[in-house]
Amino acid sequence: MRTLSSSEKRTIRFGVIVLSVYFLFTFGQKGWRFIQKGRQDYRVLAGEATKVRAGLRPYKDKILLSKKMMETFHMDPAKLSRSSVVADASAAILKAATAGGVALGPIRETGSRQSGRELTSMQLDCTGPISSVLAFLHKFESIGFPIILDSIQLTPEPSRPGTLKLHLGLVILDFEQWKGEIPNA
Amino acid sequence: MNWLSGLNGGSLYAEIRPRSLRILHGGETLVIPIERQPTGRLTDASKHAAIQGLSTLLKKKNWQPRARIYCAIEARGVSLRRLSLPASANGDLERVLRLQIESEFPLSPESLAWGYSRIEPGKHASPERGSAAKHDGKNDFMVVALKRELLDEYTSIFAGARVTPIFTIAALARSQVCPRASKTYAVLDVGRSQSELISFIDGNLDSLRVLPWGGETITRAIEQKLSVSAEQAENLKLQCQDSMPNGEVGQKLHEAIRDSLVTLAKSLTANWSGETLYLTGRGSRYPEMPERLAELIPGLLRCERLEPAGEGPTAALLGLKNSTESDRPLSIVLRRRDARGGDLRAGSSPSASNWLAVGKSEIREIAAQPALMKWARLAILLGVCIIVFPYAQAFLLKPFLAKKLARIRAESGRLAVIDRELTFLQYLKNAQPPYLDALTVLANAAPPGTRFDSLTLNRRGELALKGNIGNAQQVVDFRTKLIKSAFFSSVTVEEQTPSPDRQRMTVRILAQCKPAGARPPVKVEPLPPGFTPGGPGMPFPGMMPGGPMAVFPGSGMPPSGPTPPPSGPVIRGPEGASRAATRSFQTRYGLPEGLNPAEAPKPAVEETPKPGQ
Repeated sequence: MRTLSSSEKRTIRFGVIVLSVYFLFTFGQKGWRFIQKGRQDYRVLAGEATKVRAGLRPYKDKILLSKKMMETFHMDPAKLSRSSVVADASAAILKAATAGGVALGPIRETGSRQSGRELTSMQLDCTGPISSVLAFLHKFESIGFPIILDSIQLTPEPSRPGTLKLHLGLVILDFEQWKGEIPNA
Repeated sequence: MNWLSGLNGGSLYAEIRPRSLRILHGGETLVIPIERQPTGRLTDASKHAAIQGLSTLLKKKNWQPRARIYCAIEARGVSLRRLSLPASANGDLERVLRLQIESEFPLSPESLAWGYSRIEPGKHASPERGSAAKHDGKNDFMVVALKRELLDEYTSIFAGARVTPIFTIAALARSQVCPRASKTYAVLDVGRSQSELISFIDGNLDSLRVLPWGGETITRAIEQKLSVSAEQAENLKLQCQDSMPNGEVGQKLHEAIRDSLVTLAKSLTANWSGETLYLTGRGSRYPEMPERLAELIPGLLRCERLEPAGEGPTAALLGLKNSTESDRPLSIVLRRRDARGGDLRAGSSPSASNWLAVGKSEIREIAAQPALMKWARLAILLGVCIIVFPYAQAFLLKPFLAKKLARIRAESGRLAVIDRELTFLQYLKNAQPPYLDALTVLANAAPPGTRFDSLTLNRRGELALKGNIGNAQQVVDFRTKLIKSAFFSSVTVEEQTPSPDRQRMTVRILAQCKPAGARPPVKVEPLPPGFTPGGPGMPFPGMMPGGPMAVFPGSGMPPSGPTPPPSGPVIRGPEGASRAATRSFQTRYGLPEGLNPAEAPKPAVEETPKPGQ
């Protein structure tokens, strides 16, 4: 191959520089736009991530609160079954009464109101010593079922000194009713 | 000194003489003897000794910036040319000068170290020189050049000692210490074997000559005149510098020196004619030398010695120092092709091109030092990382972030479950009426001897009770206490009827509990003083009254064991109110301790300790 003269080398060098500048200008712009677009997309994504993070922040407290209340009520709402919760709650009430030394009287159960959040309402009578009756009342909080005491009536038991007669109206909540709700709506 | 000089790590001054290297650093002068080969090049041992001497003097660490050393070199091998350039060449002066140098000098500009100074127009008084500056639209320049390889040798020494040299001509540096009283003057530096004569006309460099006359010429003249050995002649010459011996020897010495000065004067006359001659160098220490020369050189009005008689920095070193510290910079700096820019004036204001040149030379200097190059590479890498990181982050982390966001969005249903469960539990908690708290408040407010026949409380917080209270005043007190408890928003005594025997009041009371959150925490009041748990049983209605108090008729309980009296007021929060109610009933009526400790939640009881405990 022939040795290139200095002027030819200079021409080639000049051509290479011109071509480089041309390609740099042409494809550089496209490349730069592509890079900028990628960065812009990432910024948008990062903004969304920040928003999501901000939205998730209160859930830490919410979870702690839920956990605490579940421990207080001895109940996990997710495990409540609509079909068996009434029966299970009745059994738990009976068990609590028996264990607490309270004699249960008749238990009347009425159907639920469709518009309400209650699954059913119950009325029951019981008698027992004052301590047992109060302990029985106290146990409803941690009985493990969504029971709300609707009303209580305390009267003395004339025939048995030292005992109280307790007439109790209670409702069992239907967790399914909350499933349709939009949270924080 | 400006900040740039501080950045450059200080300045040194050096004079390179044929047999020694003299360095001025601060107030300290270092003389390093050097040996040359027959070709005039330095021996390796001399180079090594010079590097060692300089390094020891500077004591610089590798990471410290290089110091500048201003070097004055001897005039041997230096050529001067006066060049006239068109005034239009000012825009690209260096390039035009290069072309001129290429035509005027036997070597190419790349092989030369060269510098130039503009001959100031209108100041040249010499008519034969023709006031050349800027006549015919031309500018005159004085170009000084020497073989680049001569400087390369010195440069390698200074590079070894980690200093950056800036070269100029020693004769030019000496002129910096001259008073410049006359228009035409010259500086003669008398060395051991040769003398350097530099002349100026109107402050412009005119000529530079190396004269073959030095201290050894006087020594040889004494040796011949007195017929003594060279060593004795040298001693006699040195003796003459202090005081001239008397007698015949003195006379002969005087003649010998005069003869040699005549030779010098002839040589000077042949090369220069001017008004003032300044003498420097060790060879000019002969006290009568200025006077003799003034006599011998025609037209010479003034001849004086510049350097002090004792040891100290030479005129060249002083001139270099003056030029960097004053506003009289040396007009000529010898530049090699790869030499760093800048002039000898430390406080000179750098122009853009000067900055560029300084920048270039700094880069070259960094590239030449592995330690600095390592740091420079790291700095460049860091800079590239800083620039690239935002873009790289976008491309590298975007897929991960998108995936993570998609996963979070997919699991957002769990958040709804959490919300639902929490809402449900909160509803359950808020919907629970405060039965036991209400009972506690009633128990705290009831006066002794009260009997309740019935008590009804519903989910809406409506409380209805019916019972017997001792008298009307106790009814009023009971009602007042209920209101003061702040637990009820309203308390209504619907009916109060005295019993047939007028001993008791039958009352019917309605009360409305405040909503959750508006109710205060319920606390259990201490038992009345003197109350003994397990006292007489509670009577039923119609039974014999007795005991401190009855809540419900027939609720008297047999004592199940001694219950320690409460030690003080018990404070509890709302969440522990149910247990507080139980304890209240317990402590008042001697109920057994604990209802069902295994199942009941642990109350948040904070008992006030007894005094002394």
